[in-house]
Amino acid sequence: MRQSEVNAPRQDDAPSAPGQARPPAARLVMASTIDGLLEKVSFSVPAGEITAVYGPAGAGKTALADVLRLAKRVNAGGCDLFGENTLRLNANRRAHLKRRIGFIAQSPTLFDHLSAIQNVLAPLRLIRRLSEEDERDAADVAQYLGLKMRDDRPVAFMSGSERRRLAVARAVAQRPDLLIADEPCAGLAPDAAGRVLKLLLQSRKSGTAVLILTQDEDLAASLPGDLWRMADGIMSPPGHVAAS
Amino acid sequence: MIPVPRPAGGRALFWLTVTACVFAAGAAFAALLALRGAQLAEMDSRSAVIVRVLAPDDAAAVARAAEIAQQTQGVVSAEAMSPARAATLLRQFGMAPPEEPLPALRLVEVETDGSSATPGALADNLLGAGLQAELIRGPSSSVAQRATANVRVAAFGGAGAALLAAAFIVTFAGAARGASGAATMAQGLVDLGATRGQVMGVFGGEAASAGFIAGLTAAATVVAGLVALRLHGPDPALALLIARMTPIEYAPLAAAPVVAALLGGLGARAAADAAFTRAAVKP
Repeated sequence: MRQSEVNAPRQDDAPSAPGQARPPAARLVMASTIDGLLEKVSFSVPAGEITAVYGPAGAGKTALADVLRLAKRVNAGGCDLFGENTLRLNANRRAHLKRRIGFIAQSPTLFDHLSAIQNVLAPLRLIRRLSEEDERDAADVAQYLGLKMRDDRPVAFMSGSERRRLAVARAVAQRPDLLIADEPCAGLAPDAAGRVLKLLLQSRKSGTAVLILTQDEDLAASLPGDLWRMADGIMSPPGHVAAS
Repeated sequence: MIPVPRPAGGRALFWLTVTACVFAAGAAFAALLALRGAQLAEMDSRSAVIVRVLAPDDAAAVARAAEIAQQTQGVVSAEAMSPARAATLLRQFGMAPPEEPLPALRLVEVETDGSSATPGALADNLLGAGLQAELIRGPSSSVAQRATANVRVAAFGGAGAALLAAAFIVTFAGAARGASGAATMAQGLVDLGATRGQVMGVFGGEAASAGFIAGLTAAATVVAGLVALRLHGPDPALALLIARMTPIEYAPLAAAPVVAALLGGLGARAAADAAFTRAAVKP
């Protein structure tokens, strides 16, 4: 696995020097949603760091993810993504910001009629003509996660575990500025879960802000960076775990 | 661009589009044939005159009338109508001639150059020669002209209605094609950051390709039908009309694939636009 190639830092978002404060990739200020799943949440995801949100089922973690990935609006408070106020975005700008976000959903939306490699490359296809390097990187990530990329079968035939790993490969290969992982290890074998976590930790080193949402308290506590707790749509102030 | 899934009922939608294109191209082509036929009939009605000799009541008067007609300016040909010719005409108009021989007729079949002055000059010449005669069928009768005008209006009205109906069918088939795929795929594209234009382009492009192929299939079907009609059609006059069609009159066939592609693509884009709006942002 050539991790250094897969997640090589980009020129425009290389990690800042030690001691230099990074601007948050995403920031919520007293944000609430109309369905009440988020209530006056203030929260930020620093670039180049892991941020974990722990909470039981129904705490509002997925709603938080939806707001940050621009799939859900806040009706009160503010929401900034990469320094832009998301309340004032037009549809085109919203789409362009989404391309900087990788999302690993609990139930990933894959293109069932396409092969695994076509799914992994789909986000890049929306942005540019694919290069050989893109295809090689995508294949490396997928192979690292134990996916057979030479398999031309549609992913509709994949198992649940394979689909989840494919969603991880797609999000990581996209090399996003903000990577949101909603229960990234749920339903995976320990070995596969370990590899997924390793990839996520690796991503932050290239400047990606990584947000992990989980109801697994042990997993949340084991992650370096801020740990937020969430219940009934309300966030508690973070504790900090030293980077390992 | 990202390939779209094969739409549910895609084959049925394809053949629906082919059928609509055949319907539209066939209607347009039939309208052109009717127009051509009407033009020929109108020209024929303008140039054909039948003279009935009333007095004197003998064969010599009929021969004399034919001779005078031949000498009249603007007359192309004039001939006394024989019983055999009368029987042929009766058959052409769908009537069976009587079994016993027809009596000698006092008719002269005249073909003019179509000029409106010719029948008047012919009547004057006949009168001047002491012959009483009437022009039974000629350009002064506007019935034929009205009939051909009505045929023209009916042909174009019918073809217009058929084209409009076919346009709706092809557009809605495209929309159904787009909606079928968009329902499952638009959300995924939107989540990855596809713009409205990209989502519309993905589905519009696929439906336009399908529409183009359907239009080509339809054009080929209509051409095959025309060839069959020309070679084995029941009416030699129809075969002759088809043979006389000019390249410009084949335009509806050439346009069918392009129009089907445009309409199918537009329908699918509209469906994808709606799917994008639904998928873009939850409340």
